[in-house]
Amino acid sequence: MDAEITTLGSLLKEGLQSEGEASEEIFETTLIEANVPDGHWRLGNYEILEEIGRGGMGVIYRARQRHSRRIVAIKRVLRYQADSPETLKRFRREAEAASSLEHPNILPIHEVGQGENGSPFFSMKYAAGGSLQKASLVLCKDPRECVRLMAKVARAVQYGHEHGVLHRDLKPGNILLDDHGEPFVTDFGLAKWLDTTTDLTRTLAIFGTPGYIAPEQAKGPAAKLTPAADVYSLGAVLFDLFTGRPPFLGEHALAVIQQASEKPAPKLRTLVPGLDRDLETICGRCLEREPQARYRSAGDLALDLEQWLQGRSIFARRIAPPVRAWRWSKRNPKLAAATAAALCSAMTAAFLFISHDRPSKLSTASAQVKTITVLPFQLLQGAPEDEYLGTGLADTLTMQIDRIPNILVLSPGPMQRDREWNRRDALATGRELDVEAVLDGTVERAADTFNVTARLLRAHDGLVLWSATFHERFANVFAIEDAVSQSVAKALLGNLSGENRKLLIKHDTENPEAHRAYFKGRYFWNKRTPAGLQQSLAYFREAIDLDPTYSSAYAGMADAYALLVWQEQLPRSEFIARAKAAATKALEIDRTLAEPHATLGYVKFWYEWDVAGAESEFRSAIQLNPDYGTAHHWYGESLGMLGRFDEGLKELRIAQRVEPLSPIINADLGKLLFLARQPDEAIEQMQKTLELDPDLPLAHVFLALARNKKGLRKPAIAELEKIAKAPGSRAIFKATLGFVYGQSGREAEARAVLSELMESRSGKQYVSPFHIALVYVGLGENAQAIEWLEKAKAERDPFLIYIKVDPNFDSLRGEPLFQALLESLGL
Amino acid sequence: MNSGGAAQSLAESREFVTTRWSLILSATDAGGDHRKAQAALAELCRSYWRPVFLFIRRRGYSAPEAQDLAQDFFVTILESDWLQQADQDRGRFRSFLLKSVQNFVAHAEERERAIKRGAGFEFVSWDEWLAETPSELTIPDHALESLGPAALFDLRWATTVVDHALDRLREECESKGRLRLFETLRGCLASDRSDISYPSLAESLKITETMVKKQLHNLRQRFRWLLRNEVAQTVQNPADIDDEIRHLCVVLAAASTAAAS
Repeated sequence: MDAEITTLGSLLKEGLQSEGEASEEIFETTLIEANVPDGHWRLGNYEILEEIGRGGMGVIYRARQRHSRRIVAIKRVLRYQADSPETLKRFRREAEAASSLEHPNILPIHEVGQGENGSPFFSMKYAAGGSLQKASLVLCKDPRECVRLMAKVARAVQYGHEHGVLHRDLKPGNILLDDHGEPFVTDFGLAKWLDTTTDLTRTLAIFGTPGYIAPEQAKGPAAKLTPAADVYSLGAVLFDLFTGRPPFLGEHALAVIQQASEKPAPKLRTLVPGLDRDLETICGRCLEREPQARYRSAGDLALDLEQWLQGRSIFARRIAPPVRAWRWSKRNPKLAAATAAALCSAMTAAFLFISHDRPSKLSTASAQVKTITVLPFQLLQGAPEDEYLGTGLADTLTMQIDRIPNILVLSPGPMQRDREWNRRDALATGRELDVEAVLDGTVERAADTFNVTARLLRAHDGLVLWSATFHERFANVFAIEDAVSQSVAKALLGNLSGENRKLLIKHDTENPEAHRAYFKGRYFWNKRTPAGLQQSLAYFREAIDLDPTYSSAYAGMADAYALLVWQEQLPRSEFIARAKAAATKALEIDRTLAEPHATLGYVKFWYEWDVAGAESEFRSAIQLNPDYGTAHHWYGESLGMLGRFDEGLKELRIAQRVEPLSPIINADLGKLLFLARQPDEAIEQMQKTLELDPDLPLAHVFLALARNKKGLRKPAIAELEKIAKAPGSRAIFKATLGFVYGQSGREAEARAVLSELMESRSGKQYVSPFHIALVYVGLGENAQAIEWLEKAKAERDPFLIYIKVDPNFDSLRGEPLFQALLESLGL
Repeated sequence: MNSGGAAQSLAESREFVTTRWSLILSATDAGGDHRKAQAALAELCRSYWRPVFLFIRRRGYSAPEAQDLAQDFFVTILESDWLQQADQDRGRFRSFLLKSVQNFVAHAEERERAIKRGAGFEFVSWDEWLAETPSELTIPDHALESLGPAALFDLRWATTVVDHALDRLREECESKGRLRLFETLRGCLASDRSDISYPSLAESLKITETMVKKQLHNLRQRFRWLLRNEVAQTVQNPADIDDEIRHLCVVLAAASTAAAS
């Protein structure tokens, strides 16, 4: 084992030898005297043709595979550089991991092998077009081509991130082009092995190239890097393509890194004045010094580049107001602290209706956006079970029409569907929603054909803008949907561009029977009862059986499983896993769907307590569809649960704007106001909600709790008794009643509720330990309460999240055990 | 001290008057070109980060912690006036760096008691490896275990010096299309090797034995120069080169004894 040390010692001792020396010139002359040119030597199964690049640890060759004769590129880590067997093993493992990334714009790795001397290598596609670095001279004259390439590159990087691999060294030299000019990202996650720089960055054991690496990559520990670092590098490459230089220049690496972390990146148009302003915005967004101010993902960047290519407005406006305020406070910390309190409420109000830095139709000037609502089509004739046809048509049309950039479809909300619609109702709803037009209609079914009438009414006066009648077999349901949505869009906008027409007729299934099953699934899902959810699952499954690529059906299935978790049905973990799997599948089929992201956010937040993961999903959903009410709703609710009330209320108010008549959104808005300790506002909001749906238990519960908070015990108890004593009442209602009983000094009644809950728990029914804890809190028995909260934690009870902000638990906040528990949740 | 022309002539005379380390020190003392000195220091740190990692690891830090610390360490050294503070042990970059990292880690330990570190999020396994340092290659495990942090630092230093010289030699060979020659003869560079089979080397290279001997001699000569040059960059006074090499030889011998015991 010590032979190598001995060898090393001998080599070192050579330095002490006094015998002569070779100057470089003599050495080289002597060297070439030996007639042993390297020529075409072999490495594994490859014939090495020429060296095409060299880096700190590795070397790159053009080579020919011996049997197939195909030309490949080979990267090899040099043995003397990466010097331990363990290193070589790791290189191998990481190369193998990189080779598992299969994406049309990631350079494929063909083989990971080992040369005769034990040095590992991998072979990959040979990109004959060289790298972006070489192409940049030509490319800078063609910004459109730059954007086209980088959109693809960003998509590829996003794919890598989704597979858990950060690139860490994106730069023009790592983006290769093939014969057709298609870009390929290379060295994914392998940058550190093949790093071609010999500067400070290596000293600091940070891998990446100054000029292209994010400031946090230069300063912080590598382990804490996030995808935002790659987003920065993508921006820097884009910058380089447009201007011919990276954003920061300096005499040495340290200077470059310092600049990047101290100064904002130069504006693109100061260097290339003629460039489109949107491109400057996109670049600037990537190059923000703070990771959280950048695009949230490489996918978001790709989306914006694609928007630009299609001539649409981009999502990254100039800096969003909160970021700007934050920057200001960072520059003026003292002043900011002094004025923060004063500004806080004013800012909240101001931001309330300023939508995100994304093109929400809600935030666009109303003159450009037509608003419409689609009411469920009334079933004139057919079996009661055909009711789904009416809601299904409305859902599909809502989805289709909402794709048109300047038509905003506001939803009347599921609970409104039970109303019997007539013309006056339709117009009343339209006015209530404050839309310009209302689409409604009728459907009747006879055997396998059905008749559909549809009409578009002007909301303020009932003028019929368009109407039509269809008599079709169900198999032609798509034709009807397309005809209606196109006619509506034409009637609203005056004409219909080819691009909008394409958006309208996009279907995620071509199978009418699958579509019909999906209708049914959504119909039952909207009932939100345990039985309804189970039925919806069966239909979504049927839809998937009929068309395994039907993304919306997977999304529906995910939603069904996600909500089943709350229905006190076990096994919870099973539902959670299935919800995630279905949502993931939906995204695999159609990555532009917003709904599965929202569902994943919901699952991650409530069931996995993964706050960051949830936030990122919600944001993706909102980015993909800024007018998707449920995403704002769920995101807002989660923010409120974390005590981020201003943000949460803002999101919920956006959700409310999209679905003004949705009882659940209105109720959750009231709930957040209660949690934010604004009982008066909560009471007012709950009363509004109960006007929309007088039977919504959640609204009654929080109305009662808000009153209780104000000391109005009697009305609170009366309210709760109504719902808690109704047959089939859920444990949450009973527990809340028990809690208020306890607080009101009605101990016997509180204990009776407690025993009832305990009894149910020991029987077949699942009762959340959280609810038992709640009653103990009412009784003032803190130790017992905390013990049950611990149980809730052990059972991963989603309700437990409430304890962070819920005023009901205020009496426990002084308890160290409670604090420890709260901390352990990591919220 | 010396211009580029003088430096070139040194290659012939086997003297290394201007070294990176002396350049850094002179710039610091005389208020000279600070920017150049900083770049030179960065370059030196780049070459010798591995001993630092290994040292910190050996002080009992987990891989991610060691990585964070090493990172902080280099940033501190490069961004502060660390050099001015270090009066002793300035003669040799190795001693300076060792002393510095010892101080740094001692203070880090104090800070450590006060601050609980958060857990990092890891995407790939690289970071962990990085902090472990790769050059356990030539150093057997039980030898590693028997050495203290400072000895380990020196041992890793010695391997780095040799590695760099070999690497430069390989590069020079490859740039002349003689990589295969280098790869074949690399194992015979130490002149105390007695088991060299010239006939078989000649056979595999398809050249005469005489040519093999000539090439080997040439490679050794060049290797010696490169090795001395490597060491020269880290000492203030070129007269210290031999001492520094001897010191590293002693370190290796001790490690070898430890490995054999």
